Amino acid sequence: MRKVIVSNLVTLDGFFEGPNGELDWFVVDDDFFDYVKEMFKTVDTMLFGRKTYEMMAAYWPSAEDNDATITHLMNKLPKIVFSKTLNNASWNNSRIVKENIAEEIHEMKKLPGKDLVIFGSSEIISFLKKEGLIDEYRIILNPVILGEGNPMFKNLEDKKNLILFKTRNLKSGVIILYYHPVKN
Amino acid sequence: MRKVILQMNISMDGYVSGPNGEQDWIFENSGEEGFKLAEKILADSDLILIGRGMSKEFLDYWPKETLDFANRINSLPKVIFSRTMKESDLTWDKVTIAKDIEKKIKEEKSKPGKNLILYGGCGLATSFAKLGLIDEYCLSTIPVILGGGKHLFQGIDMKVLKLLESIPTPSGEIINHYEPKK
Repeated sequence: MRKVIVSNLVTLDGFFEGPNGELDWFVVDDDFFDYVKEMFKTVDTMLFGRKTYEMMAAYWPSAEDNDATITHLMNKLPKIVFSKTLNNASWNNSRIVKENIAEEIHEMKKLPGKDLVIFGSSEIISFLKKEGLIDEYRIILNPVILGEGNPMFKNLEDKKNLILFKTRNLKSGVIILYYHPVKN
Repeated sequence: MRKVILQMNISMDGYVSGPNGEQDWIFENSGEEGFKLAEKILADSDLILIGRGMSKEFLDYWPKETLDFANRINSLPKVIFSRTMKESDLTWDKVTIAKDIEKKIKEEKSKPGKNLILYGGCGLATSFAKLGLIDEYCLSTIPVILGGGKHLFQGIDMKVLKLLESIPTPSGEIINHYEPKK
């Protein structure tokens, strides 16, 4: 069955973005691009919440400062954005899902294909965590203290134990932590 | 020269304690190997630094334990950083109070000795980081999603650190040592 994979860059103090969505602290180099390119070999669909989708849709179609292969894949691959309010998703190969998110993901997981990846999108990730629909977390721990920002999870009621099954150290001091949730 | 080493545990989602100060998730999700590393860091330290908020719990807890780690903790002198506590009110041995963080650390670093280990809490660790007084950050990521709680380092200016060493353990904790970038 297809897996749902969260892949997010986070700071040492637990934020995936600055207070206003800033991502300028990302520690990015060829080693990181290699991680992303390898990931794209196992993934064929991207899932987003509205905010992350809008930010990426404004960046990637005209991105010139990023890796060319990654830019091409970001623009080419199918994208699904979960939003009740968004009416127009003009970034190439996008589809809006307005309701029944959990059912939609259940269905997608049953279809043949590669894995599904989520970037950013803290609200969708929190929802899917609650529904037990996330199969893998890749926490890309940047050697950065931000001092303020937005956490991936907040105000959730339940703790969730994880299994660390792999780590990968990049030259820059970034560490990628691969987790499975412990099955209930 | 003596170094100030911050040692704290952080959940996978970046919290150092739960919304109501919970710490049970640390012991529930950590193992022997992480403990051994903590012992090693403690063996290279000879002064324990703690904040007022955690001092009572910390100082009441460890004397009841009999592990080697507890014996070492109990044998070392401790400094509580507080502007309000008075030494005359204290009932524990080998504990002193310091009001001025910078002055105290400067004074201790000018003396010979082993490292100074800072166990938190969150507020004191943040003050130390803000003052640029942490020489080494030893941060263990615990394999649990806490879902909410307290973040370390709230309100400090952005800092990029240098990774010195990263030690994954079979129980799923990963212990990462960083130093400030020069």
